[in-house]
Amino acid sequence: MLSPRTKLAIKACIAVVIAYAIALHMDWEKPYWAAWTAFSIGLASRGEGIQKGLMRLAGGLAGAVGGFVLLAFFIQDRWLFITFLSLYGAIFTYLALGSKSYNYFWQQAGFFATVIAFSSAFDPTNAFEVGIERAQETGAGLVTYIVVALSLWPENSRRDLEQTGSNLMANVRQLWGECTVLMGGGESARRTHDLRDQIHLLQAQFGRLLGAAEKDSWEVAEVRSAWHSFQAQIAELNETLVRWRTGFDELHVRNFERLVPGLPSYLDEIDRRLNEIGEIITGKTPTRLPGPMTLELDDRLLASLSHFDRAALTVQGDHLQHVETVTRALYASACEIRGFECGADQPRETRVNSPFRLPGGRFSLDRDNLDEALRVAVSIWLMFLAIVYIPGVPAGLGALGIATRFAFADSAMPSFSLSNLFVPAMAAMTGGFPFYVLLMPQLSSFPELAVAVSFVIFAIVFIFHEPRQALLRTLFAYLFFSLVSVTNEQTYSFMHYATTVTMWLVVLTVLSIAEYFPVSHQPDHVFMRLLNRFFRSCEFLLQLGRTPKHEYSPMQRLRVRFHTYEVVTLPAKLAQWGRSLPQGALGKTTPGQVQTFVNRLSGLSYRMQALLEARAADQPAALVRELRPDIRAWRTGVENILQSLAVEPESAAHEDLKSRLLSTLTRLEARIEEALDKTDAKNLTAEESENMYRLLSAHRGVSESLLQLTKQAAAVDWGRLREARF
Amino acid sequence: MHYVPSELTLGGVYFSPLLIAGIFGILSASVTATLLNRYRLSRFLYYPPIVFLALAVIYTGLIGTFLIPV
Repeated sequence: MLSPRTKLAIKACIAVVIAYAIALHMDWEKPYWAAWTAFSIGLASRGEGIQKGLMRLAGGLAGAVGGFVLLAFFIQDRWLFITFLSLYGAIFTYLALGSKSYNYFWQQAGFFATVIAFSSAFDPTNAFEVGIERAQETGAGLVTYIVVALSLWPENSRRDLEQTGSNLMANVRQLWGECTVLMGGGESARRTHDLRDQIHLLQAQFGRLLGAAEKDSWEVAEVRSAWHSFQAQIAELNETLVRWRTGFDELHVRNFERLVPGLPSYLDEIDRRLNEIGEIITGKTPTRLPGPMTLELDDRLLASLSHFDRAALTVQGDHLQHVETVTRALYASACEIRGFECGADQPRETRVNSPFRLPGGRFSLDRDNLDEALRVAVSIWLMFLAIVYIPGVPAGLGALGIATRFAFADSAMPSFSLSNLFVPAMAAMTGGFPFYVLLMPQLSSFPELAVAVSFVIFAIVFIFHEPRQALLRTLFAYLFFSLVSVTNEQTYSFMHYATTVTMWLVVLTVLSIAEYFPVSHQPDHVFMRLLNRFFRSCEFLLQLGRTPKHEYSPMQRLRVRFHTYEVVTLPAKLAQWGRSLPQGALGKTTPGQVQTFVNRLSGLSYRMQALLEARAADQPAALVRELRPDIRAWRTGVENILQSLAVEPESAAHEDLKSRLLSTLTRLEARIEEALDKTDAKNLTAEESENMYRLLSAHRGVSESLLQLTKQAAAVDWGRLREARF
Repeated sequence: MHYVPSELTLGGVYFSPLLIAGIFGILSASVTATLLNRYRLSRFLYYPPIVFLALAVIYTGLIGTFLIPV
């Protein structure tokens, strides 16, 4: 019995050899385009491969049109040409980074314009032929791969998708279990951020498999909308649980079970649902229909609570109620996926009654994606200037094409330094030398070439089979294809080998320079920069107060959108860059301490989002008027702390902040009591009262999370992190 | 002083001496940067990437002048 990696390697070999055979038979100019397409898309499951191949084809055609337009307008002036080409590259990089589903399409569209432009820069009459040839060869590679995938060990992605869905549910259930333990005042058994990382990985895998399964499984394609609802609902459930989990420090309510008499059965029911959803996805028949539930509070006991406890209770209730709605919707989606009649009347759109909305929006400006776009443009310029001003740069415009391709690919992995590729690239070149110089000249027929190529491809796929080795696998294969450059009129020259080696050295050097200029991509620099931006954005959003949205100027609206997006997205980016910090920058700090600090930042981010949501809700005008001076004083204090944290994250003294927070809470409690006496609390509607408590809880949440953050900030060696280093 | 450019030949392919000097220049700058990082001396520099570039140029110049005439 063959192992999966052997099967994958055999499929890749056969697809590459057939693609070469077709391209050579058709006498296409660059047969390696077809072979490379068959290789690169053949490394995934069948559905993923088809999806990737189609995007490659469509992106190539779109890029060809872009290349024609650039040639048509600017071929007479090389400076204008390169200006617009780099602008084109930057725009497509930004679009690729902003798109989750069509990332590869935008990348190909951006890159292929440069292929057309550089292949035809000195002979524009060829441009159309280059575009058509590329489309033909990509199509040949794609069809070859599909035929091989259908003929050899055919399997679709449905089973993997279902298994991943079930695993995802199991992990979400664990997170739910952890939340319920913490709610009861217990200790967390597992490190939540490990669980969160695991869930994020599974979510990404689920998204990939769903795209693939839609293409290679009619069972999935038939109920694709239910699968997409399932994906969105599970993301929302996870988001709700994570928010809930991060807010336990200030949300903890003593004797919660006594205040909510039906709580144990409520929690059991949610747990049962989560368990059953995982089982339904893998094919088990549901035994019952989950009905809606509500949390009933004991009003007598509620009246005896302090205002801050009532605020915490309101928010806890919101979370639980929302979890109930989402799990019911998830149950219905799972039933629909497996074709069971159990949820036709269940809510599909969980957002309707949800107190949460995901801020940010689709069209928010992402500054880090802009940085990457700028890096691609600068890489194109640097390579172009090197070609123009340094005589004899190896491969000339061909090197510019390779540099652009790598700049595009690297933009998706901003924390990865291309200088790490020097050694693997040289190792691949050294390995390719005997094949190209000694073995290839001895081959006299296609079958001999096919055996030799198969051997190399098999070795590459078999050795680098782990997902984390994907970059090395791609690099080795790409270098091999470009080095051997199989054509019908094959020539062998040491000059070609030497030119390719030196070209790669030059390309990697230029791309490494673009990692430092104009925007540094050193992990420690980026980490500090993102941190500063995070605190500044929090400060900006706090400053707005409760100004109604309709009173914002258009510019202010854009800024609010931008800063909200920053607050929502920066913690995840900081986590990624935090993992890339070199040991020299960490000093005495451990990577775990940095991750805990970033988790505290996530906590602050969630509390800021809760504050923005609570502010947007209607509040009793009289109460707002009464409490305005106190809230303003609180806000000013927090703004000052954020200002100093932006410059020096270690500046805030934890103990001092703690005592200040305690006194503020006591003062506010008394002021709320006074204000309610003055405004006649009985006139408040239930909704106004809940909104007021949500706002109160959000204010307290921001303060508490700042407190947690400053405590963890003391564990980080900031002096070392700020030190200049190469 | 009169320099004669010394092209390197490998398998019949002539390599520009500047290219070879450049490669050694970058390698030497990398070694220097690693040592400066190792002993935390880079903290005295305002912007190390610029220093790296300058070191690469200086080393290339020195190698091109004394070891591989360009």
